[in-house]
Amino acid sequence: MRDLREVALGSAAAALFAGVVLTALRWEPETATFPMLIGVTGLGLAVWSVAGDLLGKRTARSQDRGTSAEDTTRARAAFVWIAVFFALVLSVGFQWGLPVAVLAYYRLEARTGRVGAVAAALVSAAFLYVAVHFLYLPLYAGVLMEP
Amino acid sequence: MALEAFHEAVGITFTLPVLGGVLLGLLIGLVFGAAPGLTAVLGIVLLLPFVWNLSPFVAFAIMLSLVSAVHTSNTFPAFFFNVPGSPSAAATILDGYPMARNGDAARGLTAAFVVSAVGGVIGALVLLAALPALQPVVLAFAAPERFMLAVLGILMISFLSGAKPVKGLLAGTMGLWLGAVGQDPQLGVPRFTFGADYLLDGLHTVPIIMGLFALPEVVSLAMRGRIAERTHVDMGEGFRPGIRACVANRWLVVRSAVVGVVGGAIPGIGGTAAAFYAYGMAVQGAEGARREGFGKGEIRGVIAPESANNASAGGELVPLLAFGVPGGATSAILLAAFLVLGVNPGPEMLGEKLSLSFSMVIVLMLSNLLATAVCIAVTRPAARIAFLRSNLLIPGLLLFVLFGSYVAYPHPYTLVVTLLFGGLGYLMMRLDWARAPLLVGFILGPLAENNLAISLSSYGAAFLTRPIPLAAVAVMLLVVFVAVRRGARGA
Repeated sequence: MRDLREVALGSAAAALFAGVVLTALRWEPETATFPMLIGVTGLGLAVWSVAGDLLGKRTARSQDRGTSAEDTTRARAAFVWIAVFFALVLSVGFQWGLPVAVLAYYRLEARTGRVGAVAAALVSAAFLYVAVHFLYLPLYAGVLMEP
Repeated sequence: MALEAFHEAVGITFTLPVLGGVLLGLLIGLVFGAAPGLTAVLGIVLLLPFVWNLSPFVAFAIMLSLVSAVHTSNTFPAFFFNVPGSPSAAATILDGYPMARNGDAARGLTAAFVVSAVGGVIGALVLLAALPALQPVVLAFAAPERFMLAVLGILMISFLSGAKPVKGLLAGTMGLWLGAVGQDPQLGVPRFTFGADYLLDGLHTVPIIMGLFALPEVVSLAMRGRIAERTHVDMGEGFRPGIRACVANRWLVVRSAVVGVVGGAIPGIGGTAAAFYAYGMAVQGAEGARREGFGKGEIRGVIAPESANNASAGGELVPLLAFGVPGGATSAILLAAFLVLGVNPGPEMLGEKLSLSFSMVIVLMLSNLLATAVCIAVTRPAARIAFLRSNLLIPGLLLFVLFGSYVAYPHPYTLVVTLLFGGLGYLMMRLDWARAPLLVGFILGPLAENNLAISLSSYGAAFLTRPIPLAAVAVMLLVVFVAVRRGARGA
């Protein structure tokens, strides 16, 4: 079967480079030369890539051979956890968000014992405490916690 | 000048901070190599935000030691459960795993570690010899030559890395576009900023690398889960026989190291392919019953790829240091590290920063020797790392990704950029699109644009008729020819 994701990614690249060319047309030559070169080249390549995907021989979807249902479930879980980590940091900041995310991950996903999970959360909190108070690194306080 | 620089490099390298950096890189590299799924690329990516304010000597000591140690310790999982610790150990599996199953792990591992050191040292020596030899050529480069080299670098890594050359080139072009985001270097006009002040300075390297390379690895690790159920390692006996096997096959070690150096030095080939070439050569060179033994636990099948993959690290640094052209994904990240540390690879590394180049050679030799010694000394405990449940590492990796991205450019949008590039990186990984060309395009894009502007204003379009740009065009045509032929064969 044709991999529609390939076609979609190639089409998105074609749209992007068409936009680059159109935008560059409005600029002075000094500003536009390089983006125009990139845009025209990229547009040509993207069209070639999409045409190759549509007209080429039908093959199995990339990397899908050997991907089990269990793999897919694990990948989905990983996406959810990545989203949880980012959402917590963006909302309540590094110093609260990350230790909470670490604790939640170990308890709910990795199913480790309570002591291990709390220890991991404390280690992450200590790491961030050292970063802020001893290395003076500015860490985001979170959109909900900022004054 | 070269001799003075070498003396200076020796003086600086054998100081406490640099040697400490070597040890730190070794420790991290040993863990990353032994744990399946953690690669040298990921290791350097996670280190980048922590090394930017260190001296380049210390920073590169940490990163190069990490690479050497990964190339050495990635043998453990290849032996114990048929999984390479990192891609460059893929060829080692063919005979390493059967050796471990035959209860011959100690002999095989010892041989692998010893030839890794020899290969690594040979790679470093080639780099040492290449630097002064390339110096006059590189120092003669002006803007037209630098522009053509940047384009050639992007073209080579795009066309030759990965199975899809057109997609690779498209990724490289996307990287060039990303590099053009921000104010244009001549008139200061904002380009592709969509009205966001955050983008006026352009996109930042570390969040892009974290997203593109580290986040997809997190998903891969999650998919891996617990990769082996075995909890007991049957090492067998035979450390001395392992060393004897290396001595008996000394010419194979040297030949394979040369293959590794050459493979590493040609952009887009890299250590993994070189290791397979070396393995193929070892099979071709064997006769009779010995040839039959390959794939069933033949020690020459371990010696050849291990020597080649460690030697490739030195080879990869030749085009990177001399021309600023990365040989593969690892050196693409090292190129980013140069940028983060404010050092320009190319003429600068062979001129005023020659001592840094020599220090990198010394570190490469030292770290290969130390990694081998440590791997032999801690074989049994280090082997246990290979049995870690990989999903336990995920929170630590996410912590470093978030923290590292934000510290590199403290702004909440940085986290959003990281996440967006994580999505793009994952999609590219799933669809077999090479990610390194995108990064190389992003890094070399501004360099190419500046040099193109200077070339056009100084020579007009006639800059293309100078000898080196003409030669570069010829090489580009050759690369396109090779890629088209490879595509035709694959079809």
